[in-house]
Amino acid sequence: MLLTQIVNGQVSDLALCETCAREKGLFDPQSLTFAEKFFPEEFKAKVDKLVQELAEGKRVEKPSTKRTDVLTKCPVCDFPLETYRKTGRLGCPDCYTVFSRELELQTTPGATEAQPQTHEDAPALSRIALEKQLKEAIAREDYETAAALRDQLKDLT
Amino acid sequence: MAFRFSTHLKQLPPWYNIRGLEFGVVLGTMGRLVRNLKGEVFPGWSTKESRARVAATLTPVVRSMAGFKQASHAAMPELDKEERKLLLERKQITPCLAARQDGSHVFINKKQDTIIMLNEEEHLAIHRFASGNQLDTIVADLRKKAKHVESQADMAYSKEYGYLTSMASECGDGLQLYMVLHLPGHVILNQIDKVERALNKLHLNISPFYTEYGEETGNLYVLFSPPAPLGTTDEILKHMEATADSLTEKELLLRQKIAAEDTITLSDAIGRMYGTLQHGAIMRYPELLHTVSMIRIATETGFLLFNGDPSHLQARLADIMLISSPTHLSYTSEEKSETIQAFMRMHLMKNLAAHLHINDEFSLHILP
Repeated sequence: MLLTQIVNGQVSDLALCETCAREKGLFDPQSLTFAEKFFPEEFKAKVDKLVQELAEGKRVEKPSTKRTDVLTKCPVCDFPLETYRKTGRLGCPDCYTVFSRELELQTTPGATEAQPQTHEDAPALSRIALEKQLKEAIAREDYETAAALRDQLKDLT
Repeated sequence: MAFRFSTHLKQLPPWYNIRGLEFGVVLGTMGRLVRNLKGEVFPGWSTKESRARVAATLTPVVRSMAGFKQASHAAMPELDKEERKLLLERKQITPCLAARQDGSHVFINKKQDTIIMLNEEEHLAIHRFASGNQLDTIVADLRKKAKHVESQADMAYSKEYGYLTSMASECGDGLQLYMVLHLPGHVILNQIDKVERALNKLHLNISPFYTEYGEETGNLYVLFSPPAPLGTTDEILKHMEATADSLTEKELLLRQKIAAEDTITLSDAIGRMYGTLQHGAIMRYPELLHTVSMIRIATETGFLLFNGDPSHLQARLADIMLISSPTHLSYTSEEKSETIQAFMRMHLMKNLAAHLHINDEFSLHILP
């Protein structure tokens, strides 16, 4: 497993064998869902499988880099995260929820730059906002965003 | 029947020259309260339709406020460039609103001490003005207005961040406070930088009031707080009031020091200014702002005497500063020539100077 750490802007790479990585409690966080990250015990089997696959040299599914998996814009108002980073402005009150991790980092001294939040780990938007955005996404035939919004709505039930 | 907007623009704000207050250092105070509707996109990122929806929701809320049933109102597309410039110059609207068109509105109450903007930088922005040092009155009034607004509309609020604003760093109590200070003593004795450094430690700021004519124009500065983080308004109010008291005390001491230790220089400057008023024909606006400041120092230190109530003089000086600005003269008299405007300005000052005379005791005192 290749671990990349960014501490005070210094990037360091660390290569670990599967056993050592497991002993140190390390795994690839981006391949896990929100629930897996916060309730690792319940997903031990999956972690074990992952480590086993690594040991056997099997191809491990890489985390998706598709834009729809990453909240680079607010699903309510389409405000880009990049614009917030450049100007400090937000597009709507729901942006505070969508970009909450980014906002936390901006106000936490010494914090490193945030990775864009995934749909899995973003705090839930209000049901009404999600439904509204889902309708709009369907209307503009943006099915990838619509699918992500549908999943968030499911999580609310 | 609502008051006509153009009538307001031609009149002086009545709050501006309230008499009987201490005008020596703190000339005026202003508070800004902002709120945004829940579920609506902030104005800077919204569509025309969204702004129209926000205005339709908030207009009845504004009209239901005390003093706003008959308030003067204008949709921004109704105001021409000159009118926007005038409101901006009086600090009645913000540069952001001045640049807005469809869906943005401004309301002014009859006393002109409260301005409400819709779809400015935020959905709702209320500016409350008062003469002298009346921060506590302003904060109490804005809190009352905020309570009314929140009882009528669903505002964007988070337990973590407070009232949500378009600028993430400005969320919190949604309140910001300002004071206009006359600090000739600090300017003459080069104390402004020192004040600025001290204020930074209190998370307060000071900046020149007029930046377009040079930083020290009129010796006027604005003391202001950052937008109050959640639950900090009372603390900021306390800091602002303590700072204003401390700056007032220091300023009066510095003026006395200048009058006592540099009598000849001050007497010469005042005499030259008085001579210009007696024999000059035109006066540019930056010179007028400097002259107003000099008259304030000269009367407060006793170099010049005013025939009448000193508070009337302060009120008149405040009036002149407003009505003689290039934008105001251009709007009310439709006179565009700079020279004619400068002549009209000097005429106003000469009328005032007729009630001022040099204190002979001082002239005799400084003779070798």
